[in-house]
Amino acid sequence: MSMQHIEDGVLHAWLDDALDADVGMDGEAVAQHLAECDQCRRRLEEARASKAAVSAMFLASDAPLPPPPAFQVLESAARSGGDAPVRPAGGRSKRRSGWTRGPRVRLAWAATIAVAVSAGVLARELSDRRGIDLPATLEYEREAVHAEPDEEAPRQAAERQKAESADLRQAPTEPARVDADEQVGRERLEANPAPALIASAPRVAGCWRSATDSPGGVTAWFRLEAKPDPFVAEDSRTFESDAEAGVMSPSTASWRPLGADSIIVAFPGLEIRLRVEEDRLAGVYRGSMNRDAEDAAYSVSELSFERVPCPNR
Amino acid sequence: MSEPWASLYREVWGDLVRYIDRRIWDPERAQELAQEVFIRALGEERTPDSPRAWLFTVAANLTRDEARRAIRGREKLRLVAADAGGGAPSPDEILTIQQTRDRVREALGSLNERERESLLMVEAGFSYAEIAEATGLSPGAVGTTLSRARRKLAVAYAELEGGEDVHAAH
Repeated sequence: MSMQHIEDGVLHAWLDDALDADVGMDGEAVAQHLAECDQCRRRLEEARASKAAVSAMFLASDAPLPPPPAFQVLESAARSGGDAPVRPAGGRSKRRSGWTRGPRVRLAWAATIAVAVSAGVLARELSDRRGIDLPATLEYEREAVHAEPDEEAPRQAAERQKAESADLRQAPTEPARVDADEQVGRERLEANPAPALIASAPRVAGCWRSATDSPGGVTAWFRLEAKPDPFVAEDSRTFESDAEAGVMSPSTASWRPLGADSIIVAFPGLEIRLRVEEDRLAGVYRGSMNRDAEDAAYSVSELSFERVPCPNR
Repeated sequence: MSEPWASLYREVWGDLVRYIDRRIWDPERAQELAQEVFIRALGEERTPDSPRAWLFTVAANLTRDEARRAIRGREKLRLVAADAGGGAPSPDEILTIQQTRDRVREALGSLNERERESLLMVEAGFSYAEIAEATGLSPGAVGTTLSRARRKLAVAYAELEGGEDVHAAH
């Protein structure tokens, strides 16, 4: 045994990538001990599960957010000396009309997120053929106990809220395909108090390619992974390019189940909600590709991906 | 002086709103406060050394003020337009997001202030060093605090979830 058993706090620092830089401990010594000690490895998995459970419940509790106001609006508010918040309602009607059809997607903002650009191009091409209207919006309704004078329009901003939610109470579903790693993931889950949220992870793990015949030759494909934790955003799923689509960087995308048969794949400013079908992911793309623009438009369009074999890495 | 803030704005908007929302549980007000934070930032004479940390610190202070104000109304999610296509969340799903929010909010009540603060900060992407500075913990104690916080929260949440399911069955 190279050292004493590792404390829980150190395991969490290890998982949070804070060991060397912030805590000043030698990560290699911890790694070495973990390699030798079954007990600490087991506790590491428990720590990983509780971290993942907490992240998942926060994710599932996030209210849908509309795009932020244009930065210029805040600048002029700051210039005019007003420290009162700009109402989210500003520009609402314009923005709401922008919620509808696709081709208004602009790519400037998303240029930093290569994969989002790709998905956006794809969405635009698709929506040229068959744009669909925004299906639903959410309204926040307040049962005010003490209505405050400045709360004149509680529902205005909410009208442009994206509608989304996650169903925590879904029954576990049978995986279409269970390999050894996924089995480990499931067992790990059953051994901790995590929500049933992740039960659908094995069904969507794998590689998916856009099932479109876009003449521009833009083919998006991505890999959804269910490990090491089925739903931890970082490092559990990556978007990668195919050779013809050019280089796409790994992204900080995350995905989460939505009900028993859907998932949401989320990038900053871009969300794709997909139904999980037999060998197909289908659904609706909605997202804003240019948050700086005054009319930061959301586009909504249909998408379809089919399961393909994963290439070797 | 607005250049660093402009690029940060795109980056941190979502994190900042959610950081605030998880303290006041009012997404609309959270967006207003996030704007307020940036307006204050733009009014600063000089850019702080760590602009990101500055934004979240101001946000935390604003939400503390907020908590001292009168009792706030309870927000409720409601579906206002029906779906024609098949991609829209059902009323059930919207109900579920609200239930989840209520449970997470209640479960957070089982943590003490340092645990809650550390957890919200780490979820917002802060380093252990930054969490240590904000909470007064030593960097080495942040992991221990987070370990306790995560376990307590996961257990409290699971209990709430189980309890309500049992209740609903009767």
